[in-house]
Amino acid sequence: MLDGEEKLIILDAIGGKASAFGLLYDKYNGQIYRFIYLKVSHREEAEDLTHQVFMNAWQNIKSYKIQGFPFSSWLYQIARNQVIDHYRTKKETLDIENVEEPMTVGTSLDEKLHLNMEIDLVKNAISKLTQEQQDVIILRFIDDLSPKETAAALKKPESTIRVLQHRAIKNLQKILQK
Amino acid sequence: MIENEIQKILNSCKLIKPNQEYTQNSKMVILATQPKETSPIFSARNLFEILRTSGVVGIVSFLLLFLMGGVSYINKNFSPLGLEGLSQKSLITEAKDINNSIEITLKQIKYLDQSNQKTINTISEVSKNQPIFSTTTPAVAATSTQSAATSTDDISEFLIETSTSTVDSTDDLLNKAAE
Repeated sequence: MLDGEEKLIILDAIGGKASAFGLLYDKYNGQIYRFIYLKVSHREEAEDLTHQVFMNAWQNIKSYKIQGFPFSSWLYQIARNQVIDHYRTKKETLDIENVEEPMTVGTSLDEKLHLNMEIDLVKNAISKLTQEQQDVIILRFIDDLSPKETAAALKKPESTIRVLQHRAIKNLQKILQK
Repeated sequence: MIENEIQKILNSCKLIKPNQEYTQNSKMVILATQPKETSPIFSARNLFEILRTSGVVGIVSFLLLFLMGGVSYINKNFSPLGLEGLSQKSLITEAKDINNSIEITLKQIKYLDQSNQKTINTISEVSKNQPIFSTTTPAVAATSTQSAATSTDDISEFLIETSTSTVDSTDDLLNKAAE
């Protein structure tokens, strides 16, 4: 949910204050990038799309209305639409095996390799889920959003989110067991 | 594989981070632009809000009207105008009045027709009989002769016209009488 300080920052951003939007960018850039990266499985495309999401958000910040949901819900909505548009316009498809390694935080090379292997495994598994199940898994378990926040971001009732989550986990189990 | 293991694997994805250089560049580019000015009156969202509100108001007022018993009930009981065109009672009364006036006219026509017929009959009877003039006063005789001559011509003036067919038949009869 929105805390008082974030609300003030959002109000400043709505008022056209670039530095306020800069703070929001710093806070949510990582989450949105991760969400997009796991859906498109390509670093540069994820960067371009993330840039476009924040550009759209800043361009349309004056139409944003505070309704009690976190600011990230709005950003996730823009990101989802951006990814949908991306797939609609994209002609060629990328082979998941040829995808570049993501930028991860790790200490040693071993650790990094292990992490990248796990991420590849997750990406592979997630890519086999439906779009809605992908969204729920990423938002709930990777970006740690609450069911209510996830519902707001995906514009669906909480009960639907719970059902989607249950099905997504079952499907992930099946995919990872193979 | 249990859910905890899936959770562990998914947690590894939390370490995915965007390139710092890209982040800085992207931020600078975005903040260098100006946000769009939204028109408070003509924006699509406002239009949608207006349509939604008017739709809700329309539905609610229709339901209220429906619950209150419709237009005729409201007109009958609450309307200060009292539109007669919508009142069933006033329409029936009006129709009765029109019927009555038609009946009266028909009766008048029938009565006039009968009286015309009687007059014609009387005239024809009078014309068949020979006129009797008194010899006492030649002036009276003259006037009576004059009246006998003119009576048939002026009769039509005293007759009340009812319809063209009746008038025609009366004229024929009068002509015969004159002959």
